[in-house]
Amino acid sequence: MRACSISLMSHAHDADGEIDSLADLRSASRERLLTEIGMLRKETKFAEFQTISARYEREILASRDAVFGMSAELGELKARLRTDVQEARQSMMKTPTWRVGSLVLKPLNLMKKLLRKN
Amino acid sequence: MPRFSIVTPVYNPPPKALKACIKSVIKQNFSDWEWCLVNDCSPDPRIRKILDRWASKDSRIRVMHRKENGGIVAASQDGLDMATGEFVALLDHDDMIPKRALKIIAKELASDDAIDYLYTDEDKIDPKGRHYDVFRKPKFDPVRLRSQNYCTHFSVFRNSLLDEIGGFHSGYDGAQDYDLILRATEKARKVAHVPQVLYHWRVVPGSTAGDVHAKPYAYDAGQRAVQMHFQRKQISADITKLSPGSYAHQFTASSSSKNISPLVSIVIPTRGHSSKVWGVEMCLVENIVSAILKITNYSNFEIVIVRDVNETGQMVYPFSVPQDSRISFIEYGQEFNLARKWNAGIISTRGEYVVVIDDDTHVDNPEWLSQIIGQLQFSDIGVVGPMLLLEDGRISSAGITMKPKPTHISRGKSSLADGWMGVHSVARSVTAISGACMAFRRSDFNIVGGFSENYHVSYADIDFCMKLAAHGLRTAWTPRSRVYHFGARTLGTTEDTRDYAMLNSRWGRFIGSDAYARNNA
Repeated sequence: MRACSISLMSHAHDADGEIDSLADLRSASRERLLTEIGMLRKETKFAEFQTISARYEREILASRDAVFGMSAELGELKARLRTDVQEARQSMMKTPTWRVGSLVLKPLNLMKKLLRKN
Repeated sequence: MPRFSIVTPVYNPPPKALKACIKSVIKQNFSDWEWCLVNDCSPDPRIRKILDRWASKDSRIRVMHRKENGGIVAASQDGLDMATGEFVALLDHDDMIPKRALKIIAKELASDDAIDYLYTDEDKIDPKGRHYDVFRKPKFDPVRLRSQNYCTHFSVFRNSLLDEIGGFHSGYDGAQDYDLILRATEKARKVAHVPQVLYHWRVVPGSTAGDVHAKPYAYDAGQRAVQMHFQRKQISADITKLSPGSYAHQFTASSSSKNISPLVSIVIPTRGHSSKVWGVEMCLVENIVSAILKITNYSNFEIVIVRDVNETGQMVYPFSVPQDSRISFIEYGQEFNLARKWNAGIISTRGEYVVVIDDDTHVDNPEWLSQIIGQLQFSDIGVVGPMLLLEDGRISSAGITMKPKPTHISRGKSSLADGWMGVHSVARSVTAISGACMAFRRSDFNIVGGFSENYHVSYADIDFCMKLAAHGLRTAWTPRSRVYHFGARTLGTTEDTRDYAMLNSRWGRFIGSDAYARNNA
């Protein structure tokens, strides 16, 4: 048999218990009921505070995750840009225009090298 | 001052092998080196002649003939004392280095002034000169180094660092290099790995390369070297020998010397489903909670169960767990999102350490918790995972590799076999681990913003490991803790294309290669 109170009734499902009789509350004094109500209010406030605190904590976590995520995405974009530039450069060097151009400039480059050496 | 001093203690090698070793150094396409050869009273008179002949031919070759045999540690230390180079490379008297070795290493060292220690990949040469057993090593992994000297050859140290740590220590014959590498890497500003085979380890009868049982005294010395490493780190653990060359470190109860049994919060997200495990229908969460309460030998823990509730606040699938003051509940009534569920549970925890564990798991080893928490005593480790086992005892996950895409390492392989180079038997770093069971510090969880709720079903665990890595913390995996994971029973599938796209947008550049899981290592 559990002692019956307002507080216990409100948490009956949490405590996994059952209320056996309401007679205890019916015959309770006004002072006792007021004390019980006060305790309940405090508990409710604390529960509200916990809920709000948890919500804020989750928001902070989400913000931090967003910062890490954005930084990671920036790194990812930079890496992709580097790869794209390399690929574009390589494909450009394979074009006939580039090949003909290098062939034309080959003697000039050779002369430049010789002049530098001398 | 030469760039490199190669140090080689010499004791009665086969003359042919010694000549091949000398030629491999002479042929280097990098000339700024000296070679300090210490003849430790080799009984074969030909050795002295060979060494003196080559010393007279090349002024870079310096030979010291010891008056009495002092053993490998004394001879190696004499070599270090002779060394005047900026870097010291250790070469055994019968091994070889390829022509390009010193040039490649010099280039790597020039790329960063902070590199104090460098090692390369290696292979073996049989008596007929054939190369085999290519060991493609992972990038520097202090976790694995505590269990086996995987760095060994070719090791190059900054000479000033060797002076600082006092060179070779006596009493470690046969494992003197292991002891030196452990002490050097503890002090090194930076450790580099050249992922190329720049050392050929010759297999001759009686050598460690050919027969791991050849020098049992070396494994005793290796065990002492690891024990001393833990002492220097002020972490107490029992060091035991596994297969020759590998050591297990079992964190002991007193190993929490830095912090007496800190509170561990175990978070279990659950829907309350039942399933058939080992032929018996059972409620999964009831099973894991009972197992944790019954078996765990780590006393200071709490359990937070994040359970699904409907709009009226009732459990979707009611279950009951034993009455225990260490158990508390968090109600979760939103759309399924595993990361959100984890976060909701973790926010309510009080522990210094957090373990998230799926409800479709089972523990039967009392050490399962202490061994993953023990790893977190190393400040460079951010997250630790156990060996996950399938229902039939085979490996479910030995970490996660990103090559070619996020995959569980060694899935389906025997958990009883050591694996190539002992990868299944020793703790090591990995790129990521499964969220089916992982441990981390609550403070690190806060810093990186917890699990990303952008992932709905999968990959939030990998993302979490990647965020910790970006924060400078490594992910470790240990086979000393084993947890059964019965698979994705509660959801059916854990693949989600949206989640993969998210992972790719954040960490795509790391997908496709994995420095901790190169080919055979």
